Amino acid sequence: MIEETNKKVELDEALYRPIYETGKGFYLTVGVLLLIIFITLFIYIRQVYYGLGVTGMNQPITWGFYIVNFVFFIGISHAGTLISAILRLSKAEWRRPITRMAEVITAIVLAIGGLHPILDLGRPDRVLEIFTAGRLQSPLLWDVTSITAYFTASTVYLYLPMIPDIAKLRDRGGKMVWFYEFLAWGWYGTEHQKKVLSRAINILMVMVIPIAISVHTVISYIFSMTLQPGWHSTIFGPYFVVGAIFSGIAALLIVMIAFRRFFHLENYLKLIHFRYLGTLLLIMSLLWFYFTFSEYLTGIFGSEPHEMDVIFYKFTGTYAIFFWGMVVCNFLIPVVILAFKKFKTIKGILIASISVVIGMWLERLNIVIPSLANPRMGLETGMYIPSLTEWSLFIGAIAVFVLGYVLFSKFFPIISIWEIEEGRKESVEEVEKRVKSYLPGPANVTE
Amino acid sequence: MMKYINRNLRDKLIFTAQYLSISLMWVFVIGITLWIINLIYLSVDLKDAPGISIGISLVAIPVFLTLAGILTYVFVGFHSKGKNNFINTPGD
Repeated sequence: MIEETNKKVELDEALYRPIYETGKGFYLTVGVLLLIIFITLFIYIRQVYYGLGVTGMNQPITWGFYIVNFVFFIGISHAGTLISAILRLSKAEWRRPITRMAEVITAIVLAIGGLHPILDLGRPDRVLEIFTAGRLQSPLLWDVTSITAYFTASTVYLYLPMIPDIAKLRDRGGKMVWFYEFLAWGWYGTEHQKKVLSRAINILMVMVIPIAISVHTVISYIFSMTLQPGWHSTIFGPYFVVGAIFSGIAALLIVMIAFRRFFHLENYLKLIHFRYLGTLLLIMSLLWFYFTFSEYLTGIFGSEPHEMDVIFYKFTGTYAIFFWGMVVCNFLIPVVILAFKKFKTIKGILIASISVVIGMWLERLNIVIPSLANPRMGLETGMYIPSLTEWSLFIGAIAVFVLGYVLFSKFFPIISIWEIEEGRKESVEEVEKRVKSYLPGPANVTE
Repeated sequence: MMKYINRNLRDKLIFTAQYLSISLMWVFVIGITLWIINLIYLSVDLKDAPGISIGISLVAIPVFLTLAGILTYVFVGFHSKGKNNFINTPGD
C-alpha cells in the first residue's frame, strides 16, 4: 500500500515540477515575451497618439488585421470550453489530461480576442459608449454580450475543476500558500463537497456548449447581417462555428505537443491522445471543406455580378495566393497527414495543426478583406497592405497568449491531477460496466 | 497562543477575501443586468427594435445570473457541511 502510494506520488510529481522548479528557460522565455509585449505597447500608444492612419486601413477597406485577428482569436477559444465540455459530457475518458489545457486556451485567447475591437476603434475611450449609448439592434452589441457571457462562463468552467488541485498545492505547502488557500474556497475533499462540485461542473458543461456555439454564430452575424457580397450568407453562422472548432483543436494540439516536449509529460499526453484529437481534426477539415465548397458553389451558381467580383478577386485576383494557400493549409495538408496512419505521428500531427492554424488565419483574412476591397458602388478595387503597427500588434497578441500560458503553468498544474487520479481509481471499472451495458444480452440487474 | 491567534486571524482574513470575491461576482453580474436593462430602455425610447433588445436580454441576463448562482452554490456548499469533516483531497 505504501509502495503503491509512493509510486503514485512519483508518477504525478511530473505535474508539480513546472510549479516548484524554475529553470533558466522559464526566465529567458518570460523575458523575451515581456520585451515583445512592451514594444507592442509602445507601438499601440503611438497608434493612439497618431491615429489609425498608421495602419493600412483606408477607404474602402475599413476593417483589416484587427478584425481578422479578433475573429481568429475568438475562433481558437472554441478549443477549450467546447472540446473540454463535449468530451466531459460524452464521458470520453481520454479527455482527462487534455481538458485543463483546453480550458486555459479559451480563457486567455478570449481576453486577447475581445481586446482587438478596441485596437480597431482607434480611440479606446469610445468603448465606454457601449455602456451609455449601445444599440441592441446592432450585431456588434450582440457580440459584446455573447463574448462577455462566454468569457465569464469559461473562466468559471476553468476555475471550478481546478479547486481540488489548488487544495493539493495548498496542502503541499511551500510558496504562496495563502494564495492557494484563498482560491481553494475551503475544499477538503469531503463527500458533500465532491457532490457539490460535481453538480456544478455538470451544469456548467451543459450550459457552456450553447454559449460557445452562440459566440461564434454571433460573430458571423457582424458580417452576414450586412448586405456585402461575400458576407451576406445564411451559411456563415455554422461555417464560423465549424471553423472555430477546427482552429481550436489545432491550437490545442500545438499547445499539447509543446508542453509534452518542454515538461516531459510523455506519460500523460500519449500518442493515443494525439491520434484521437487528430481524427477530430481530420473530421473538422472535411466539414470545413464541405462548408467552403457549398459557400462558393452557391455564389458561383447565382453569378450575381458583385458576388462574382469578390469570388474572382479570391480565386484568380490579388487574393488568389491567400485563398489557395488557405485551401492547401486547411484541407490538403491535414487530410494527407491525418488520413494515413503512417503520417499520423506526433510530428505529422504538429505539422497538420500548424498548417490549420495558418490556414484558418488566412480564412479570416479571405473573409474580411476581399468583400471590402470590392465595393458595390462604382469605386476602384481597394488595396490593403498591413502596416508594421498591425503586424506588431499581431505578434504582441501572440506573445501575450504564450506569456499567459507560461505563467498559468507556473502557478497551477496544466494537467488536472485529481481527474487523473479519479481516472486511475474509478474509471476502468466504470467504463467496463458501461461497455457491458451496451452489448446485447440480458438487461442489467439495476435497470 | 500567538500562533493560534495568528492562524485564526489568517483564516478569517482569507474567508473574508473569498466572501468579497463572490460579492464582486454579484456586483459584476448585477452591473451587466443593469447595463442590458439600460440598453432596453434606450431602444424603447428611441423606438429602435425593442423586441430584439428584450429577446436578447431574456437570454443574456439568466445566463449571467446562473453563473453567479453556480459560484455562490459552490462557495456556500463548500463551507457548509464539509469544513469539520476532514478527508484528504481526492486520490490521496
